[in-house]
Amino acid sequence: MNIQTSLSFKDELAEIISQVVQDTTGRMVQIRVDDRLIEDGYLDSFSMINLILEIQKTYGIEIDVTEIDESNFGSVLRIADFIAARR
Amino acid sequence: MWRRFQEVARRHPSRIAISNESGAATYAALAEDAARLQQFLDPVRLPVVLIALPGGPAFTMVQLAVWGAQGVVAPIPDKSTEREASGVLDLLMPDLVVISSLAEQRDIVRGLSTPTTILTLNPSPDHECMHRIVCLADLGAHTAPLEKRQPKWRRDLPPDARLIQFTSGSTGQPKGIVLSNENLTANLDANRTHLLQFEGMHVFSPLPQFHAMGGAVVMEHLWHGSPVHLSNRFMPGDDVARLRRYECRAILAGPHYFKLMLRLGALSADKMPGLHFFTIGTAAVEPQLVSELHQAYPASVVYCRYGLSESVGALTRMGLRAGDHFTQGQVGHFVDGVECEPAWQAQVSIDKQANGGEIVVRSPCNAVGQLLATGQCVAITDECGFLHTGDVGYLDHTGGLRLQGRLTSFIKVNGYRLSSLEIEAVLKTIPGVNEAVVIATPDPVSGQRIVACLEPFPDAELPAAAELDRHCRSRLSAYKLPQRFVVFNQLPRTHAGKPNRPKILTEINR
Repeated sequence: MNIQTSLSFKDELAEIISQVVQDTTGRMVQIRVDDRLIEDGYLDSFSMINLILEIQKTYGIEIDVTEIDESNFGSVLRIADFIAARR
Repeated sequence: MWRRFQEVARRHPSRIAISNESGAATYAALAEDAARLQQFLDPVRLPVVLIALPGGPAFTMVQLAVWGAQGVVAPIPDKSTEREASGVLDLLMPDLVVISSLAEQRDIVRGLSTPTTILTLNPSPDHECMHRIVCLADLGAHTAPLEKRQPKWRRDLPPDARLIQFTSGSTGQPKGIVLSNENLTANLDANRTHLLQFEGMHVFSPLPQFHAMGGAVVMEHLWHGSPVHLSNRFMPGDDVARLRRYECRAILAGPHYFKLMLRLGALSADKMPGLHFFTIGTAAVEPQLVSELHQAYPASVVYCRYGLSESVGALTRMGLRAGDHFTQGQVGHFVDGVECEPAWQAQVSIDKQANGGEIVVRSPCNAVGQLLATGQCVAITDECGFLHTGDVGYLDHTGGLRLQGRLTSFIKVNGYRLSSLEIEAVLKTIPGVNEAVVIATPDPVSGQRIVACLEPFPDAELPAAAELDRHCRSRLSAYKLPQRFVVFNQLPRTHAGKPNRPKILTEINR
């Protein structure tokens, strides 16, 4: 299956991010694929770092600090594209 | 403040003055846009303007316009909830509320219980509501001027009031600290020699501009010709890109930001070779953090500063170079213009750390008053002009201030008076601990029970409780040892990023 076009991959990612936010902050959230992660207040600094660690572990990729920007991590869709491009 | 800014703008019109994630503005552009907005405000005497904008060019431009109109700005977080906004708005009754967008900041608009003029930076579709909505881009000669509201308490606000700094306060209710034009300019004058070394140098700060230190940092640097680049969200890659683009030489931030950026490997001479100054605010800094910054940048200077919302800018400052002796609690010497109360100075000179006392200082930067819930503005200093800070400390043999904690953060266990700051300092030396807060809970036998609340770094795992106890036991007397350890994935924090002690207490009592 092509990861770039997989809806289930994006849903899976949204689920991972929701879980990271819940584990980090205790807030029960249900993040949708087009939510703005920073602008809408889902990810704070701690959640962001936990998310980076989780993505590195789950998808087996290394992420450099310079790649943690709005264009790659601003939404679930952008993160999905970023991971797809790196795999 | 407005005239001083105009002088700087005349000297460096085309220099970038301030930027954020959305854009940048030169000194000339800020001055011109502020002058245009000022015409809208001018008909109102002493306009009170609430700013709910992200830090950056627009925030600063509005602040300048209000000061040009001899008015008062009251900044709040742009993402305030309806409850938070209404608490401030009911107290303030501003003549004007400035927001980015009606669609994005509905909560703040809902917090307005009476008809108010709202200035939006972004155009919005026709909006049916009781308020007058004005878009910044539409302001012109044809725009009806701002009208003054008449809350009964306004006569109490000093005529030279310029800034109302809201803090969470110890009661959980917003506390409005009233700062005058003299307070703001005195801070620039007191730090002039220090700030001139940054003249023309680009600096970076992720501190929120609505926050006391974040706002002070912008004023201090911008007014000395030093461009300031602000970050309103934690996107370290974007921060690194902007630090590089503007060739920033200094970062001014809270300890949390430096720790995370060090952990991500962002602060390294490879990634950002130009950095040379790090300013950490606003209280006692961990020696470990200073040491890590010096390891990453051996030639750098790390400034620690201590200040309070009740006084603009820093009361003390110290610059540390690699190899300088530094211990927890040191915050440096008082800056120019700050006087210690003679009685306090005499007491702490005799008793030293055995019995440090409440720090009591007089400074032209001490706020002229505080807004009460009744709307009255009352003095926060005593009859001799001294501010009782609520912090406890003593002067060391060099005359430098050593912080020991907050008056309210002292714990009484079995008759011993303990400083939570001392215990927290030890807890922060546990490998993997990012933040530590000591809370006292009532205990029928000992009086109070010491609870250590720990927040690990995201990728760290903390040792078991027995090992935590062993670590503390090797560094603290038995009566100072925490009786309970609580590990939080993330400690509750205030908008400004500080641990929220009342919320932490609620959590541990659950």
